[in-house]
Amino acid sequence: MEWKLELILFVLLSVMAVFSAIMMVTRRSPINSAIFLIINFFASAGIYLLLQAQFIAVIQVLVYMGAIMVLVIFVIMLLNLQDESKLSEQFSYKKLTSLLLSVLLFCLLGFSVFFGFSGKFTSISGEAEKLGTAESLGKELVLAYSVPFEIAGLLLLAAVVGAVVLAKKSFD
Amino acid sequence: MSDLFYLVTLLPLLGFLVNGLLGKKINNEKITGIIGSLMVFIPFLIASVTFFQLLSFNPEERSIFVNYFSWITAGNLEINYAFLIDPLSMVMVLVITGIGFLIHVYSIGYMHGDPGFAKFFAYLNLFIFAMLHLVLADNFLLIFLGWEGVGLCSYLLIGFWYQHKFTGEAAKKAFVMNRIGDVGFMIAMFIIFANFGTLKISEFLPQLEGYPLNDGLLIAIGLLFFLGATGKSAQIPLYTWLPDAMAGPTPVSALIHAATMVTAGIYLVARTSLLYALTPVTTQTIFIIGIVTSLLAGTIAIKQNDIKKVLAYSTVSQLGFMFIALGVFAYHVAVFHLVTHAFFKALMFLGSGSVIHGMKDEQDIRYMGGLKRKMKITFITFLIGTLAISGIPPLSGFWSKDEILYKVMSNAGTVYYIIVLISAAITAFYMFRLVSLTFYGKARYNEEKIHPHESSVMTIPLIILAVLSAIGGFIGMPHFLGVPNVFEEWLAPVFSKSYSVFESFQPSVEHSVSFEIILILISVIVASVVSWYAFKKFSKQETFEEESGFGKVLENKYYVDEVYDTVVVEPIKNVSDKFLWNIFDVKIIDGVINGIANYFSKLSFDWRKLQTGIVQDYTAISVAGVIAIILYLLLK
Amino acid sequence: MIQLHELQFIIPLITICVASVLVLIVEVFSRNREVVFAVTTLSVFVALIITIRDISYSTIILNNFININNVSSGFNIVVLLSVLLSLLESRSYLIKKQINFGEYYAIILFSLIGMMLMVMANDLLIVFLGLEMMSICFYILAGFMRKRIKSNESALKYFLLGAFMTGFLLYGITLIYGVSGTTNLMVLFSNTLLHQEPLFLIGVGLFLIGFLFKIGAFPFHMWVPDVYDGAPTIVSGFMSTAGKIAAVATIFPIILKLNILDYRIIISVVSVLTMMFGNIIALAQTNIKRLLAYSSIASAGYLLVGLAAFNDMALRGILFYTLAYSFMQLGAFIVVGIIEKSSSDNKDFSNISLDSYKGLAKRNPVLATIFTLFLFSLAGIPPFAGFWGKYYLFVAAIKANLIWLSIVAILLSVIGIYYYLKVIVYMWFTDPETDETYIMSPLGTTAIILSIAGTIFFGLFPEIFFELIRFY
Repeated sequence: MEWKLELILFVLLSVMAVFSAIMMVTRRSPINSAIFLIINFFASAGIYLLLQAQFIAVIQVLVYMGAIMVLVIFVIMLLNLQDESKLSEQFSYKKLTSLLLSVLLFCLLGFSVFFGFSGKFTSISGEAEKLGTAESLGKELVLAYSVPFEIAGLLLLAAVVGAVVLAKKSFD
Repeated sequence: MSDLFYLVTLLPLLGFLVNGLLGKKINNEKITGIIGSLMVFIPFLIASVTFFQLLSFNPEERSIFVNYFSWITAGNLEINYAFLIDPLSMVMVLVITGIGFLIHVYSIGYMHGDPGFAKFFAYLNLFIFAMLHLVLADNFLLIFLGWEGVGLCSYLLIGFWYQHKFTGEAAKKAFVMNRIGDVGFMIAMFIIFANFGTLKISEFLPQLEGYPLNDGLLIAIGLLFFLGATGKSAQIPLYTWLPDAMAGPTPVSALIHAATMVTAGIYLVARTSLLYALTPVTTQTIFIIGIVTSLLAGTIAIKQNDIKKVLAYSTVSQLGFMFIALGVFAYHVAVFHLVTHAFFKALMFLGSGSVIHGMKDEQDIRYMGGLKRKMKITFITFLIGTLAISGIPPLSGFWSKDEILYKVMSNAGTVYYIIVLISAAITAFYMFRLVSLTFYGKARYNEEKIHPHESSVMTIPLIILAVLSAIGGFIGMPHFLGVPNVFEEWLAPVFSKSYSVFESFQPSVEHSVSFEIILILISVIVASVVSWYAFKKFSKQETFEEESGFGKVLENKYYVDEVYDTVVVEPIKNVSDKFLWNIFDVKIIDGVINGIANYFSKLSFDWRKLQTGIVQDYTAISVAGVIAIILYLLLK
Repeated sequence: MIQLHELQFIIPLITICVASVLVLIVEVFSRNREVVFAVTTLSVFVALIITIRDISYSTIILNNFININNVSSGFNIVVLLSVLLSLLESRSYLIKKQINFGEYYAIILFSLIGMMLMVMANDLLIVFLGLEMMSICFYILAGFMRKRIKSNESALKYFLLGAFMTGFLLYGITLIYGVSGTTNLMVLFSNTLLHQEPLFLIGVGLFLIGFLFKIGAFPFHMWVPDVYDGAPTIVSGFMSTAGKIAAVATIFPIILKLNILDYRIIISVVSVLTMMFGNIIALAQTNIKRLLAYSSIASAGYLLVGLAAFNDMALRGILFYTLAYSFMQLGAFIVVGIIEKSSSDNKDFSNISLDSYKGLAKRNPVLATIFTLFLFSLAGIPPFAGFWGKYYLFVAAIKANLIWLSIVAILLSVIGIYYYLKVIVYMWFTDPETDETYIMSPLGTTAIILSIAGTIFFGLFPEIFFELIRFY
C-alpha cells in the first residue's frame, strides 16, 4: 500500500518536474520562467524526500526556492526585463536536427539506464533512512568527506572572486 | 676522481655560452680572452690530476667508465652519455686541452682588435667541447656528435672572416669534403648496429674476438670508418680541403688544422685498432694511402710560396706518416707521432702567425727574408720546430719518425722503408726551404713600410711549445737505449689485444741492436744532408723565376683540384641542372606535391565553414559525438 | 581518519592554497601589485621545487582521496612549470593591456589548485571538484579583458559549452557510482568484474567525453579556436598548456589503468579525426592565435594516439609530450603576446594576423629566431623536444600494433609542418610592411629563455626527464 503510494507520488512529481522544466525553457516572459523553475525545484525536493533524503530536501527548499529564487525574481523585477523578442521563429533544418539529436540522446541514455539498472535495486533499507538525517550527513561531511568539503569551500571562494572580477564596475 | 671530470667537458661549453651570448655585452677583450682560456685551462688541470691518478693504478685497471645519464632509449637502441677514460683518451684530452690552452692565450694577442673577438673565443671553446666528446665518448653515436661538432666549428672558423669570398668558399669546401667522409662513418655505424646490436665501443670490440682474419663484414666496416678518417684527417682522396682551410685565422690553423681535429681520423683507427688488426687488407689500404699521401703532399709543399700553405701540405704529409704507422700495425707509434706533431706543428703555425702578424698580413715567403734578427724568439722557436719535424736528434720529431721508419722496416720491408725515408727527406727539404726563405738572406719586403715585431702574449706560447717540441720525444725513446719507453708502456693496455692478434699471424722479427742503430744513423744522415742542402740552396736566393716543367705541376698541386672539378663536380652539376632540376624536380616532384598541397588547402577552406562561431551549432555537433560514442559502446 | 603527518605529502598544494588566500588579503590592504606578483610567483616556484624534491613519494592519503606517485608528481611538475612560465610573462602583458589586477594572480592560483587536485585525485569526487575549480577560473580568465567584446564572447562561449559538457561528465560519474557503489578510483581499477558491465562502460565513456572536451578533441573541439582567439593571449597560452595538460594528466592515467580495450577504437578514431581537423583547418588560418589553437587541437590528437596504445610506452610518451608541449606552445604564445599591440581601443586585438609577422626577421631577428625555434619544435623537427614527444607517442602506438594509426598520425603531422613553415616563411622571406619593433620585458625574456632552454635541452637529452621523475 505504502509502496503504491510512493509510486504514485513519484510519477506525479516526475511529471511535474519534466513539465515545469519544459515550460520554463519555452516561456517568453522571465517571470513565468522563474515561477516554473520554482515548481521544478519543488518537484525535485519531493523526489529527494521519497528517497529518504530529508535533509537535502529541506535544504533544496530553503536555499534554492527560498534564497536563490527570491534573488532571481528581485533581479528580474529590478532590471525590468522585457519579454524575449522573437529571434528566429521560422522553422529551420538546424532546429529539426537539434531536436532529433536531443531526442536520440535521451532515448539512448534512457534505454541504457533503464535496462542497465532494471532488477538491480531493492527497496530502501533502514540504513539509508538514517543517512538522510542532518546528523549523520554532518558527521559524514566532517569526518569521511572533509577533504572534498574543504575543496568545495575553496571552489566557492574562487567563484565569488571571479564573479566580483567580472561584475565590478571599475578597478582602482 | 671522476667526480670532477664532468667539468672537463662542461666548462668549454660554459665558455662558449658565456662568450657567445654575452660576448657583445661584456665587450672587453681581456675578460673574454681570460674566460675563454680559463675554460680550457681548468679542464687541463683536472685532466692532469686524473692522469696522475690513473698512473697510480695497475696498468690493467687504467680504464674507467663514467656513465652520466642515458641519452636516448628507443627499443634496442640505448645510447648513454658516457665517457671512457683510458690511456688513449687521456693522451688526447691532455693534448687537446694543453695545446688548446696555449693557443687560446696566443689568440688573445693575435685576434686583438678584431670585431669578432668574442665570437672567435666562443667558437674555439665550442670546438674544444666537441673535440673532447670525440675522444672521450664510449659510443659511436656520441663520437659522431663530436665528429660533426668539430666539423661545424672548423667550418665556422675557416669562414671566420666571411667578408672575403675565398674564406667562404674554403669553408664550404672543407664542409662538403668532410661530409663525404661522414657518410662512410654513418654507414659504418649502421652496419655495426645492424650486426652487433650495439653502438658502444666497449661492447662492440669484445664481440670481434671470435672473427677470422679478413672477414668481409669487418673489412667493410673498417674501410668505411677509414673513409671517414680520410675526410677528417685529410688523406687521399679527400685531402684538398686542408690547404684551402688556411684561409681561417692562424690560431685556428694551429689548433684545428694541425694539432687536434685533423688527428681525429688517426684516433678513430687507433680506438678501433682491433678491427684493423683483424683485417690486414684494410690495414694495407691505409698503409698505401698513407705513403702516397705523404709523398704527394710533401712534393707539393716544395713549390708552395704561401707560408701557411707549406705548413698545410706538411700537415697532410705528416698525417700520412701517422697512417703509415697505423698501416704497419704500430698503433702506439702513430699516437706518439700524433703527440709530437701536435707540439711542433702547432708551434710552427703559431710562429707563422707571428710572422704574418709582424709582416702586416703578408703570407708569401718570396717577399720575406732576413727576419732572423727582427723576430728573434719567433725565429728560434720556429727553427726548433723545423729541426724537430725534419728528424734531427734529439728533438721530439726524430724519435717518433724514427720509430715509424723502424716499424716500416720490420713489418713491411726494405722497399717500403726506402720510400718512406725519401718522404722524410722531402720533409726536411721543404721545411728548410721555408726557414731559409723566411728568416735568412736579405729582406725582400719594403722595409720602410713594414716593421716586423713580436708581442709577448704571442711569444710565451711559442716558447712553451718550443720546449715541448724539443724534449717531448723523450717519453718514447727506443728500447735499445736502455731507457724505458714510457709512452709505449702507458698505451700498452689499450693496444695489447690488437698486438697479440697481429703477432698471431706475423711473428715479430727481432733485429739486432746494431741494425737498429744503423737504421737510425741512416735516417739522421739523410735528414741532416738534405737539410743542409736546402739551407745552402735557399738562404741566399733572392730572385724567383717562373716555374716550368714538373715544378709547375708541383706548384699547381698536381692539378688535383682541377681534375676533381672536371671529373666529379661538373658532371654532377650538369645532371642535376638539366635532368634532376628541370625535369624531375620541377615537373614530377613539384607537380605531385603542389597537387597534394592544393587539395588540402581547398579541403581546409571547406572544413573551416564548420566553425560557425555559433554556440548552438557547437553543442549540436558535440551531442552528435556523444551519441556516436554511446551507440558504439552499446552495440559493440 | 586523516593523520596530521599526511599533510607533509601535499606541501606544494598547501603552499599554493595559502598563497592564494594570502594574495586576496594582500590585495585588500595594499595597492602594490608587485607584492602580489612576487607572492604568486614565489609560491609556484617553491611548490615546483618541493614537488621535484619529493618526487619519490608514493602513497595514498587523506581518507583515500589523494594518490601521490611519481606519475602524478611528474605531471604536477609539468603543470607547475607551465604556470610559472606563463606567470613570468603575465605581468608585462597585463600592464600593457591595462588589466594588471591582483585578482588575476589569485585566480591563476585557484585554477592551479584545481589542476593539482585533479592530477593527484584518487576519487571521482576530487576529480570533479578539481576540474570545476579549474574550469570556473578559466571562464573568468578568458573574460578578463572585460571591456573587450571578443574577450567577453570568449568567456561566455566557454562557459556555456563548458557547463553543458560538464553535465555529461557528471552523468558519467553518476552512472559509475550507480553501478559500482563507489567513487574510489583504486576500487574501480581493481574490480575487473565491473569492467564488463555495459552501464559502467557508458559511464566511463561519458566521463571520458567530459575530458575530451577539456583537451579539445574532435568533435568537442569547436570551442578551442574561438576561446583562444578571444581570451587575453597569455591566458590562451596558459589554458592551452597548463589546463590541457592537467586534463590529460587526469584522464589518461585513469583510462590506461582501467585498461578496457573497448575504448581503443573510440580513442583511435577520435585521435585521427582530431589530428585531421586540427591540422587541415589550420592551413587556412590567417590569425596566429587561431592557428596556434588548431595546432593545439592537433597536439591533443597526437596525445590520443599515445593513449590508444594502452601499453607501457603510452604513459611515457604522454608524459614527455606534455613536457615538450608546455615549453613550445607556451613559448609560442608568449612571443605572440609580445608582438601584440598595446592598443587602447577596446574592440579587437591587433597585430595577431599573420600579416603582422611579415619580415619580422628583418625588424627583430632575435624574436623571429625564437619563434622559429618554437615552431620547429611544434612541427616535430629534431633535435627539439617536440620531435621526441611525437616520437615516443608514435612508437607506443607501433608497439601496440596500431601501425595504421601511427602512419596516419605521421602523415597528418607532415601536413602540420606546412602551416608552421608558412609562418616562418612570412617572418624570414617577406619584406616588412611596417617598421615596428617590440619590447621584451626582463621577466618575459626569462620565460622565453627558459622555454627555449627546455625545448632544446630536452630535445638533446630526452631521457633526463624520466630520470628526474624516476620513471623508467
